[in-house]
Amino acid sequence: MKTAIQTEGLRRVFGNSIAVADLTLSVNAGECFGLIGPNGAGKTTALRMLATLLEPSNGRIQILGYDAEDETADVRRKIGFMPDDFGIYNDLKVWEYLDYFAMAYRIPSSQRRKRAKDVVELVDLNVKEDAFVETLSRGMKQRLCLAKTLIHDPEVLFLDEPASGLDPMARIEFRELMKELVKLGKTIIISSHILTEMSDFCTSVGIIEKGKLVVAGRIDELLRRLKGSTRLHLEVISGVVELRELLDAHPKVHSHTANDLELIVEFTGNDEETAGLLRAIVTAGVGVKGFYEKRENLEDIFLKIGAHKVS
Amino acid sequence: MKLLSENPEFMRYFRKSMRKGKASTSSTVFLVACGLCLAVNLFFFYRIPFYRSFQTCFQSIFFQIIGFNFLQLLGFGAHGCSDSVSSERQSNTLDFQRITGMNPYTVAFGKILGVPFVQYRLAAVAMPVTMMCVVCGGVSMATYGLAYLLLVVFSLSYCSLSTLVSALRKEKTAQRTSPIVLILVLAWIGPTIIFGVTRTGGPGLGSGIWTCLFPIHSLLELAQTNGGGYRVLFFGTPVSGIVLTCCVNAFLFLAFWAGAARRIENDSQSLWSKTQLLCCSMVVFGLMGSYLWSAVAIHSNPLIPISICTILAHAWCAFVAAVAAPGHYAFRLGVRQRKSGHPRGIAILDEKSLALPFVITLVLVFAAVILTVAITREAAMARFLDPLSLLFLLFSVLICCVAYSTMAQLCKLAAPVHGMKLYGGVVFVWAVIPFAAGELLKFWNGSEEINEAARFILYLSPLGPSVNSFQNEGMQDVRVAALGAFCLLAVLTGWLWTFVSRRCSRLERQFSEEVTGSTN
Repeated sequence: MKTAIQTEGLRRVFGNSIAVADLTLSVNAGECFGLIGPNGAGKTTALRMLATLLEPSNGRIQILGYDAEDETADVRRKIGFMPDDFGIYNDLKVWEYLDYFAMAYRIPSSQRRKRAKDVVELVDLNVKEDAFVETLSRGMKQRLCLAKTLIHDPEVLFLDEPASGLDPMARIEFRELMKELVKLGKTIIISSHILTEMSDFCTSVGIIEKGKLVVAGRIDELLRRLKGSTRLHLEVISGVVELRELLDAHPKVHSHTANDLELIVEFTGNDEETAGLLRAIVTAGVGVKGFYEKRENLEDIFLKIGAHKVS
Repeated sequence: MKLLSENPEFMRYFRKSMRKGKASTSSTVFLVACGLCLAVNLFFFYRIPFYRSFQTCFQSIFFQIIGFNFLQLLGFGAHGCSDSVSSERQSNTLDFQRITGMNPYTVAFGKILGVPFVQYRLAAVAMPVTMMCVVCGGVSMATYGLAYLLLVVFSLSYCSLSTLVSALRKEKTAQRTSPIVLILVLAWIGPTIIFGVTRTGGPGLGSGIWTCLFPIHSLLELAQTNGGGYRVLFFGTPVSGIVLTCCVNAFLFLAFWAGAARRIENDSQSLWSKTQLLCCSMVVFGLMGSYLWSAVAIHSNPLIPISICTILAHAWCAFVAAVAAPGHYAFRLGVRQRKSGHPRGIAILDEKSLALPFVITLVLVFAAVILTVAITREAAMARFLDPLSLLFLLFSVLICCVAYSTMAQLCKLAAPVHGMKLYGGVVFVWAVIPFAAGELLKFWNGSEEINEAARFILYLSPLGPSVNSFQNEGMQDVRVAALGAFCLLAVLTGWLWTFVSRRCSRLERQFSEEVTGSTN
């Protein structure tokens, strides 16, 4: 698969503090890469460097084969950037705002209106085309900002906390929009705090801590790599004492904690051994109401890996 | 037209100011005001013998309307521009513009023309009324054209200055920059009026060239002569003041535009590139040379023009040093480019402070040539000027320039954020304190003849040799005290230069370690 974004030893120093330290990253074309990290970890700095808005102190960035430093103009034509704290021209109408960026990207005048209509449709703002930007809600402004990011049909998108400040409904809409963009084949790097949502559309993630990339890779690979034990949830109606004795004696049970009639078991066995454990519990006369495995997600990866320190 | 219709920044302001209702209301109000102006003036003409003739009345109406357009462009236009870049930097929209790959010169041009678009529109709305003044014989067609030409030139130079000041603001604060613009405008008006008054006789002869910096002066002259225009001496030759004003202001516009664009592109960049800085220096010293030439050609005693030019040369060189001295950003960039084998990393004038004397020397050589040519042109000058003391004056400027560049470099390295302010303070203290002390000592002695101690202190200030030539002092004879002060300054500058060079080398090592990661 073709590599869309490649960084080598990317570094950014502000005075005495190192915001990003030797970030080496490779994102394939068509991939949606989630950049995860606590506040101050260096996500925004990394994205601003990738978007050619901030010069790195050291290191190289290649986007679609263009060098970000030497071929900045080519890179800028190919990318779209949506910052976390974005400003908007409130005194323009929605179509004027998009026309402004279409003109800035040198889209021929004959195509501008059509392109604006297409992106407005994509972000579902058709009814607001003639409205003033200042009259839009926060969620709509966010979508408008995404529309302007897409106006020149960029191949690569950098989205910095795009869903922050959105209400639950707007977040759902935003998630759907992201899925749509992934389907369109865009290469996306997105930073966010809402990890559960990112797992819906991100194909791979990178965890950044104190400016360093702690781990990066495809989500399923990371889960497999990090999966040390299975967490089993048990709900019983009777026989808690017998159950605890049985668990203590079982060689594959790493630990267990009980909360009245609910137990959480750290189990190191495979699927067959899990089935065997259930069989043994039932045979021991324990009244089992529920027995299920808790699936690990991005949040678990983040909690397992992250030291949650900021630079 | 495509230059404007395809400029997104201009179109944004255009659309804003042409909204239905808003545009028609302001235009109507302005037309009504023009009508009122017409009515009041005609009332004065018919009822009170206020005007000599019908033509005079319409001439007055014409200049009242044009004057109002000037004032509103200065007030609202320049005020609007003074916030145009800083507010975008604050709201992060400047990043949006940068990422589109839009040329920063296009952005700056769009702002300079777009922000005062309402004022341009109102000026256009008033054009039929002013044309009526032409038809009624108030002003000639030439006056009409020249007045509007001056209006355009004026708005371009002031709005670009205002945009530049706005672009210089780095911090993302809501502080407005219009007070700074107002101070600059007032500082600009002062000398222009003085030179405008003094140019008619004595040592002020030839100083009319400075009035070309201020278009309002040209407008006032235009009003007085009703299209006849006025002449200023350009290297001793009388030329049209209005044409020269337009040329000078067009250059100012280009310089401010370039500065604003560079700062829009990167807020850590120096105001002008080395080439642009040299061009600006050539123009400044060209004006200075013209003034000297004209003054010397007409007036017998050239001491006052030489003094004025020396002070101006000091001020300009101090400014050049401040702009050209590379800061942390340039050092870091240079180190990084060299590390990565980037071809730009080898540039001679990039990040080494050693490049500064090169710029300053070039400027001074140019100044010296003009000075020498101007002074030797008239054989009669020999009795006023001793070539040795003239040379002394020139070298005192040169040594001060090296000191300015060293201090600018030191201040920028010591205080990366407030380096320029620190430098301004240091230069001010250096210029004023010894000068004031020397003058006080002179006053204390109560003698017309300056004593050696006062002379020594006075000559420590960059202003000392320049101002003293007013009093026929340093130009006539160079004494031991003056030479002593001069040598002390040279030694101190040399020592400071060595210190700064070492500091630069250390900083380069530090940045080099930073980029290779050894600070980790």
